[in-house]
Amino acid sequence: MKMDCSPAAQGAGSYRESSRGRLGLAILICLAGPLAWPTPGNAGPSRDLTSLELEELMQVRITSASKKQQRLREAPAAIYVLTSADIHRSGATNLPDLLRLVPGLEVARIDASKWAVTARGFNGRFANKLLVLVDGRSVYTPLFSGVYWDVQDVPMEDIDRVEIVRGPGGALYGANAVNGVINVITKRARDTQGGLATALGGSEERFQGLLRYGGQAGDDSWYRVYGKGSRRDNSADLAGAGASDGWIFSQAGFRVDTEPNRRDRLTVQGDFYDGKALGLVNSVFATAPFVRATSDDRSLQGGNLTMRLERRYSVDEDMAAQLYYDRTQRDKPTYRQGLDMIDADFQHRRRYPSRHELIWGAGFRLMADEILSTDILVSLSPTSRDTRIFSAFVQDEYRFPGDKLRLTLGSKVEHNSYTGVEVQPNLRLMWLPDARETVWAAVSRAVRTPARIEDDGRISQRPFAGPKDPTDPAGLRRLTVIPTLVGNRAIDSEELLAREVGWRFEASDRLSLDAAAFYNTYRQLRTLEPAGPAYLEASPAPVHLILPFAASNGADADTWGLELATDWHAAEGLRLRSGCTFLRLSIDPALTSRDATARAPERENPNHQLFLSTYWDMSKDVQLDGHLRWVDALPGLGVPSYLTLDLRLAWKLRPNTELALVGRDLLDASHSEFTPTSLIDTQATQVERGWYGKVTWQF
Amino acid sequence: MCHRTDAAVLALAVRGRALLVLALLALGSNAASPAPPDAEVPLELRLKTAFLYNLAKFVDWPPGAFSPDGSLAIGIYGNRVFARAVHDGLDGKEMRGRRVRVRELERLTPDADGCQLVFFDGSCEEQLPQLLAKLSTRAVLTVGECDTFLDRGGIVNFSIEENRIRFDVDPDAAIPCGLKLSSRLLSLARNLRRPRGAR
Repeated sequence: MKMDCSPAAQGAGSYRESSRGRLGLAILICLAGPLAWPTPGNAGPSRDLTSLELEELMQVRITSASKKQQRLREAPAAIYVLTSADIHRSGATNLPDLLRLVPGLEVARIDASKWAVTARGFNGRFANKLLVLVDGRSVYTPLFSGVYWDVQDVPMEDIDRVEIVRGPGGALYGANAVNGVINVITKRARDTQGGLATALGGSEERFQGLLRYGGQAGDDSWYRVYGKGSRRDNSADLAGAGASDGWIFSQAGFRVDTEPNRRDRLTVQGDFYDGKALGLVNSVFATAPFVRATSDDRSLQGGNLTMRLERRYSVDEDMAAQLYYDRTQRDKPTYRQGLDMIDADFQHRRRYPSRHELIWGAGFRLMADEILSTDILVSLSPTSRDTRIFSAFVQDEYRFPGDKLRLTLGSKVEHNSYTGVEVQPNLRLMWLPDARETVWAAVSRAVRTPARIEDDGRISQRPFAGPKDPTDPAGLRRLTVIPTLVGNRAIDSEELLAREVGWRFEASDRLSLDAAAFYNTYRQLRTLEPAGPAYLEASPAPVHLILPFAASNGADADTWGLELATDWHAAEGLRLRSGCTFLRLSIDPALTSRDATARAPERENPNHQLFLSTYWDMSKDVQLDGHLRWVDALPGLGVPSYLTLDLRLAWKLRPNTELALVGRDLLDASHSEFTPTSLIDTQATQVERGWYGKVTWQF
Repeated sequence: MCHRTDAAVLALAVRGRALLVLALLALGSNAASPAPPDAEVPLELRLKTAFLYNLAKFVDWPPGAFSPDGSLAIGIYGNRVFARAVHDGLDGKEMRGRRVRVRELERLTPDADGCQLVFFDGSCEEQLPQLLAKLSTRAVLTVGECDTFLDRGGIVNFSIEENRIRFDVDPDAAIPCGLKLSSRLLSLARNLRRPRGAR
């Protein structure tokens, strides 16, 4: 409630009234979720288990304190994990939709193949403060700073877990892990043995099919291969008419794990994809009408190959070395963008008898791009550039005697081609008063390094009519002025100093709570500042005036927020999870800044979000799951708040066959989630109500 | 049920702030109500404690394995939190006419501090060959919780499968120790490990 006294809320005028009501609603759903029914009395916590027979003990389900979660509980950060069971029951067919079930994340669909995903504010199609890794491979593009979600088509069935850390991860992961890190971790090949076939068909997700087979080669090697194809329907444009934003994608891949001895595991894995995504983008022209929707249809090709060696010397010591190559190619008739990335990474962990645990590592990454554009909207000069990152990190965790207090101190130091040396330290303190409670606090620094487009790009913005054209003899015609972002090699990194506190509490074996609060101070955020006088340009005709702007570091910001999550096993076979997120941004442009849009993000991120998920095992073979989500309005983008519901009914026909019927976004015919405004003006579409049926067969 | 969830929450939500106060009060009172003492220990640990107690019921130790006071001593190696949980759950209990004693083992002496049952935490995996070698012919029931425990000479191993605790038994490993495992125990074991002769 304290948050409503914030300057941002007061400045928002009438918006403030409604947001207070929403805050109440948010808290209610979070807190009242677990209170909606009385806890049914069964094998409750007070029962003396030693009086049970062995057969009975073998039937008792452990609901919360598994080893994996134990490890999770001992993390001094705002971490959340989606397990393969969560993923299976989410009904999500792609990664961004899956991430909607994570408290603290902002996920908004722009069109059928574009999403805006971030944590803790500054969302956008190129949300540049969230780092995403798939099996340790970065899928954050250095060209535009962000993630191309349209090519992250990891088969949902292959994912072992998704670990989401909100808050800076720069001390371990390096630059661009500013507001959060998402780690998608796929299953080991030995855990996907045998065959799996899934077929999905419906109204929005027209078709998705997956065929996977896993086997064993020799005594110590396991492999899997898969192929996947999907087709997504066009959605509705903002006026409700049919849009052209469909998406067709096929991907194939493999993974081989070899464990030649007890201590080593060698993994080789790769994926290859080919797809086409449709869409519209508002392009800029020197003749009226100056802004016209043009095709953003693009063909997408790429692949990656990863080799990883993990060696475990003992429980106290291990190391991992990884090498990967990743290629992405995105082509339009007027624009071709290719990127090759090679990354080598090494890390070593050792626990010493002196209560210290030391992790250190080093890495190198080479990124070689080529961007050929004849498009007036976006181009880069030079068209090709190689950039490099050299990095090293060290982190020490000290366990104070008594094992209740732990101190973590570490930093990454890296050198990149844009800004030189960056240092990203963090300090974390964790208190484990008993087996059920964790309290942590952290102070960290993180940076977002400039994107290639900010250094070398040229992006046309919405033109306007300017002074009379001196070349027109009649003196009637007016020159078109095209404000244009031009590259600025002097741009520096955006910097964050984050302060976080968190509390995790297992109130009982059935109910756990997780809360995190943060206060972030950003320095040198990107603004677009005038860069020299306007000049005439003759091509493309007619002569027009270019008004140059350069990406600069003209704003500071404070953001603060609170993220709550509850997980409640209400009864045998009934689980409820909820999440609430409160977020405020207050941006402070420098006195010298001329960027009128610098404060825009204040009104482009939801102040409140909440969700409630129920997982109900109706019988041994039937599951009914529901996900209710409410997302606050984005007044700066003209996106109203929305409430939406997904339902999934699944029936295990046989032990190896499951039928599922899923309805998504059921509460309205269509709704808008995000309409990007900055830099590249993608035409957003609406999310439509949809359903699909799915068959999963293991053989 | 799912519809009910959503309906219930919405109903709560629309009534606004009065209910918020109620909800906060309810949560407050919920948190303040004294929890039963056992509830402080996570279920997994209480469950493993109960398993240890029940396993011991189905094992016959050779005469002379016990100390003069006739108690059954259980040692926990490598996990202080679990040692405390087992102590709280079992110490002083009676089993087949013997008083149960629980102690935390910080080091493993060749006589296992006189314990008849020793549990090794999963974190001890790397030291297991040395640890178990010390006990291989002593009348000690060794219980562990890692994949390699039976390979390295342990007798009973816990694992978690689909959120339930399962155990495997190597009956051959019990023979040199002079322990007799009841057929009921063997029938309940998941028993992935076949007797050595059958390999």
